[in-house]
Amino acid sequence: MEEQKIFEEIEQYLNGQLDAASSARFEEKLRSDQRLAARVKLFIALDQTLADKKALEVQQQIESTGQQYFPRNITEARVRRLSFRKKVLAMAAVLLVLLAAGLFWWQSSAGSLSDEVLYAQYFTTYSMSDVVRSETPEASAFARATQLYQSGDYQAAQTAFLALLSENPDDMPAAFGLAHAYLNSQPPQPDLALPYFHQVIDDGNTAYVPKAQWYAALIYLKKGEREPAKKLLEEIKGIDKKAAGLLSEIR
Amino acid sequence: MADLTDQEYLRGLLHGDSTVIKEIYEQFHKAIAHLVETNHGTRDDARDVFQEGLMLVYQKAGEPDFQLSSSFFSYFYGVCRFIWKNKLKKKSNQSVTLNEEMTSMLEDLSAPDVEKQEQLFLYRQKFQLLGRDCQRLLTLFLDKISMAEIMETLGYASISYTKKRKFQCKNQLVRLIENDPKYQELKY
Repeated sequence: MEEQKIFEEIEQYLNGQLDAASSARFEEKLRSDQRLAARVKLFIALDQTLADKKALEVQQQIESTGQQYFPRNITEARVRRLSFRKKVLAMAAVLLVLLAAGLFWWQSSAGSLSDEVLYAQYFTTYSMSDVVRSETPEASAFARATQLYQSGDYQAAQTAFLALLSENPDDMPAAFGLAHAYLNSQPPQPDLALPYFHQVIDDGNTAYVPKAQWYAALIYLKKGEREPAKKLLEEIKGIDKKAAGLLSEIR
Repeated sequence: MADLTDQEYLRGLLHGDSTVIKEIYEQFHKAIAHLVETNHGTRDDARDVFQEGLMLVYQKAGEPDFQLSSSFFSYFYGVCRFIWKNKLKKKSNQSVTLNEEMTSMLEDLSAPDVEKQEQLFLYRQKFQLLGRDCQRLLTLFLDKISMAEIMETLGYASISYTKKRKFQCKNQLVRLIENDPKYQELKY
């Protein structure tokens, strides 16, 4: 909702619909908030670009024809990704050793764990293997998105899940998948993942709700916000031993 | 299709003629792939350069004072070479040299010009990834159609749902763009 308000405020500002005082306040924010300034710039550019419908049509024609002449080179992308992955794995191994050493020191000296370390201790990458879809036309697109996620290509998985959500914003498995793709990307983007976990929780109609609650709680913990984390963990402690364990550690 | 004239290539491109666009690929894709692949690039890089180059020619050809001072292929090849040179320069210190003839042929091109086109290309590309419903909704808003009319046209139940849907669609588009590493490279 907050994000929607920001979007609307940007558009009102650009369309000259804010009164003088609100406009001045907005401009003040623009000077101090780089992300907002970049958004405004993007909104202006998008309006200009998409207004040229002929260019859109020509580009679509160029891209679709190009598939025949420049098929995507999957092998090459995979090889590059693997070599990058090797580097990441090596770095991760070093970090794990450091983390374990730090954890040992922390536990023996301080007696309690920081929220960040608790997050690292409890967080596991979700496999998405139990997320199933009925036989719908979107099922294959969802399967492709899940495959990308499972292959570790979180960037491409985000794009694929976002495309599914643009078709149907109430597609909860896609929202759930997107949240995990954000959470596992390098660097992780928990702030982008959180609204999508909340979307699944608020919807309340899928089997993913407890899992969304668990991961949302972990994100709050990572952000150092224990109260919302506790509230979520309270709701699932009866069905999830890990949640009960974590709750006892942060009480 | 055989032997199109330079003007036929330009006209066909300006009209988005699928037969002409196919012919441009048919005739020139190997040359552009060779240019990129023999200068530290991949097949995927070649595709990007080819397509961005073609869109750049489309934009330039649409300008009122545009004059083709060489063959269509020479101009297109020069544009692609310029784009690839610019990309390489940004990626590393490697570069592709342009000879004197090519430099004068492309005197109306500049690096900011090319980067601006790369941005536009990226925005259009991401817009096309949205669902049809979202594309239609955002297009109606861009055409300054009123919220009430859009609600009626798209069969939505209320103004507030129309607003929410518009936010969702624009949000998806913004996320698709912001999550692309190319956007981060081109942002400033």
